[in-house]
Amino acid sequence: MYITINTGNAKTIISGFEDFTITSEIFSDQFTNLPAYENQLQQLITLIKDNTLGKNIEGIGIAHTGDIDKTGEIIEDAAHTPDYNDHNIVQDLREALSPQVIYMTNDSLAASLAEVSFGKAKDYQTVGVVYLYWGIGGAYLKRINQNSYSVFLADIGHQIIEPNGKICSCGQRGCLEAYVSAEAIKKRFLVEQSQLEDVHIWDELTDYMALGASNLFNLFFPEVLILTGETITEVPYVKDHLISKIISQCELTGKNLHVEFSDFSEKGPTYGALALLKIHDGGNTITHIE
Amino acid sequence: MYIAIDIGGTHTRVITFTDLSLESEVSRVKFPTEDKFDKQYEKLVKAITSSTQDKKILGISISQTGLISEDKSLLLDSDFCKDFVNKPMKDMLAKEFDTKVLLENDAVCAGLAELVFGKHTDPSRLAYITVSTGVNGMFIKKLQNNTYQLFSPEFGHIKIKGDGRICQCGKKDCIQSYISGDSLKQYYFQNAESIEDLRIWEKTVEFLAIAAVNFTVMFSPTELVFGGGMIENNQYMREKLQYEITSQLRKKYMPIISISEFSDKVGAYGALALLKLDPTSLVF
Repeated sequence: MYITINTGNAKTIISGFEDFTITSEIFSDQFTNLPAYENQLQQLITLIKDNTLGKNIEGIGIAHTGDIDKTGEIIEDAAHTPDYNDHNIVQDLREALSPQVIYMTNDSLAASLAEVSFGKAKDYQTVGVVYLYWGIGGAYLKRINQNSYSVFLADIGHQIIEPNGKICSCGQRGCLEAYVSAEAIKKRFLVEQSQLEDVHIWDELTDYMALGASNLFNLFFPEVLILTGETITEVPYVKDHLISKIISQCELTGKNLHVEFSDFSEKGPTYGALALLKIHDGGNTITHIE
Repeated sequence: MYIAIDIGGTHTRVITFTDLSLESEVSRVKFPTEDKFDKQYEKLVKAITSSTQDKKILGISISQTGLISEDKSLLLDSDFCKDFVNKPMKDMLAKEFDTKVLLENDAVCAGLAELVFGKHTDPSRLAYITVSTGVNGMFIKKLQNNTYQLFSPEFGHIKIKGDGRICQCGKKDCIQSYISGDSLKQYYFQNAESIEDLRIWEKTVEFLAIAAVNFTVMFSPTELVFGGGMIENNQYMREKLQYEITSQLRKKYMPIISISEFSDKVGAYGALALLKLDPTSLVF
């Protein structure tokens, strides 16, 4: 059995798979992130033990919000769960659950790996991914061979799109994230994104999203741009207008661009954690350019 | 002899070297870049012939403004040298002078000049931004085994919410439409060097800083080098740029910021760097 842990900015989803296919999912459980690292760790261990019932854990794949250090084991700069920073969650889970292997990566990169392994990017050589929900992530992946990739994590949420704009949680002004993340939407309009119905607001927000996504394209020129995360895939106005707005903003001379919505939405990082296990199991590599 | 050519939107420079070092420079020719390809080619041949005086040419390398084909054989698109697009200049020069000819984008060449000949503290992740007639940028990451990963993005077409200015590419709010010499001329009806109103420069440097911040959060360079006449020849820009970037960018990403020492020779020096580097060491 393979276990995946998807810790986003707000909640954690634990899933179990029989093999390296996404159709082999046998359980999924979730809880709101606990502020203290030790409590979060204990909750993870308890839920995994409850769901695996003593079965052999062949691998654990973790998709975690924030930066991951070079060893791939320590969480850094997780803005929404600061108490998790500098903890070696890989080591702690290894000691508690004795899996055969355990790997961790950033949740945006995991969402990207899901797309190249199981999703709409699996037939492309170069892929850009925009992940937008509570926070914003971006990645550029280049396929080296069938299952090995070089990857470049682009912090697209903190590109400045509005001069002298709103203060972002990172301290900069005018970041994309300060306008279009689910957290920013809630802070600005005092409602969850699912309850925000004003199309004029969504039109403005979609303009910002398109601008941010087109900047990712103009810097990396991927063959395909995959749009994922609940703010993109679960808001009807965004689904109806974002792709055409992105294409209208990209500099396409001498280049081709396909833009697609992900089929995975919030499951993207979970499937990406499974892809991470699959990639390593085949002796393949993920080479970080950054 | 080695010939390094820099074809910019305004001027073309042909520099001759006896070996692959900057110190071996023996001659320099500069002329206005022609609108028509045939005339430009004629001038190039004349400049090379007069510089080499029948000595054996071991290689020619061209730094060209615009989009270069993946196989590095053709100019595919250019805002400033439109008549040069799809013209077989590389093959023509190779045949004319019976030597190898390399062709690369000018921003890539400028980055290579800084990488190979620049004096930088930590060039392991080097970014180069140039602002002159146009705007461009590139990023080089040192990999293992003396290989380099290069990204040559459309830096001039990074977008921010501005006042909706239309760029030469036809889209609106590209950074190039706010800060390039060409766009300043279009918008304020005077050449950049004639603009004395500091409010214009204040806005220009602010937009450049934001574009540099966006480039930095995407690529995380250790060193960020600025070049191009709009920066090198403008004391206000040079002095204000670092302050603007520092005030806009969070500390986590702060690179070492410097101004190129190569001035308007950076493209040609980059062309020489291209001849010096093993082409297989560059991964695009």
